[in-house]
Amino acid sequence: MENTILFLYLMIANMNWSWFIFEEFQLLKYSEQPMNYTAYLMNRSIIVPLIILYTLNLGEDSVSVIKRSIHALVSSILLLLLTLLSLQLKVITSKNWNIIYDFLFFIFLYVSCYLIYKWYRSFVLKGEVQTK
Amino acid sequence: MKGIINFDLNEISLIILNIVAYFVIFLFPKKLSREMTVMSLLWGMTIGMLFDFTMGGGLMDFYKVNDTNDYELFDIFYYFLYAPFGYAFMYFYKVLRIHKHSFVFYIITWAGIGLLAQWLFTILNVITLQNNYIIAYSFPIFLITQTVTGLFYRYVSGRD
Repeated sequence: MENTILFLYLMIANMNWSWFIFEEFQLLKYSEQPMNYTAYLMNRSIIVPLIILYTLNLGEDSVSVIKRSIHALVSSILLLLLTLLSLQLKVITSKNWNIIYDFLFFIFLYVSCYLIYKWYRSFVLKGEVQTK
Repeated sequence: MKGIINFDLNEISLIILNIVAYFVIFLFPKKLSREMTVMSLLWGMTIGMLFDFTMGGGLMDFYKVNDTNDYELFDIFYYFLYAPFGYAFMYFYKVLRIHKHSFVFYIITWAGIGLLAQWLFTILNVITLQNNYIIAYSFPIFLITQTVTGLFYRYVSGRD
């Protein structure tokens, strides 16, 4: 169930981020061609959360900080490549945007997701044991 | 992002509905585990946001939330209102001991509740339908989302 909670968090965070940069600030633009737009939606709501969640699942609790950082870095680079692919295939077009911001956001997603996981383990699961 | 455009019916309704909804959750006997409670609240909110961000915005843009098509402060109140629906769905699923045979009726009832809630939100100006969208179109969407939610609940709660 903790993976579900993390996935839901990642979806909320990524959808809100996308909404702000695409709709509010219009720094990027999505394609109006239906198939490309569907690809944008899938990337926003499924692919990005899944890849980060998968990366987070790669390491057990005992994994070192360095190894975890490498996981985060590699998955962020992979997501960045997907963003570049989206730009290349005209799924999205850049108006006034540097993809380094995307990279920083992916790192933020990974770190915040890890912190929520830690909170979940300490608050939700331990609380559960105490109330039993 | 905009702050508050007009503080009128929709904003007041959202504040009252949020207070009532979360107060009711607080009053309900605790039937769900802490883990399930967190998951159900987050589930309700995410499903609501997913459909709002997909159908209420973007290319489809079938409805406007609150006073403008932009992100407003009170849109957050609206999204928080989805969470108690997720909780109530799973809470009553457990309390009413829904099983294979009553599953369909439970889903249809909740799809009906979804339509009623959407109708209430249009009356209260929380959402404004646009681009030829009518509330009836939401029925199949509710059927799908409630079915997925129900099946997911059965899976995580280990019910047959």
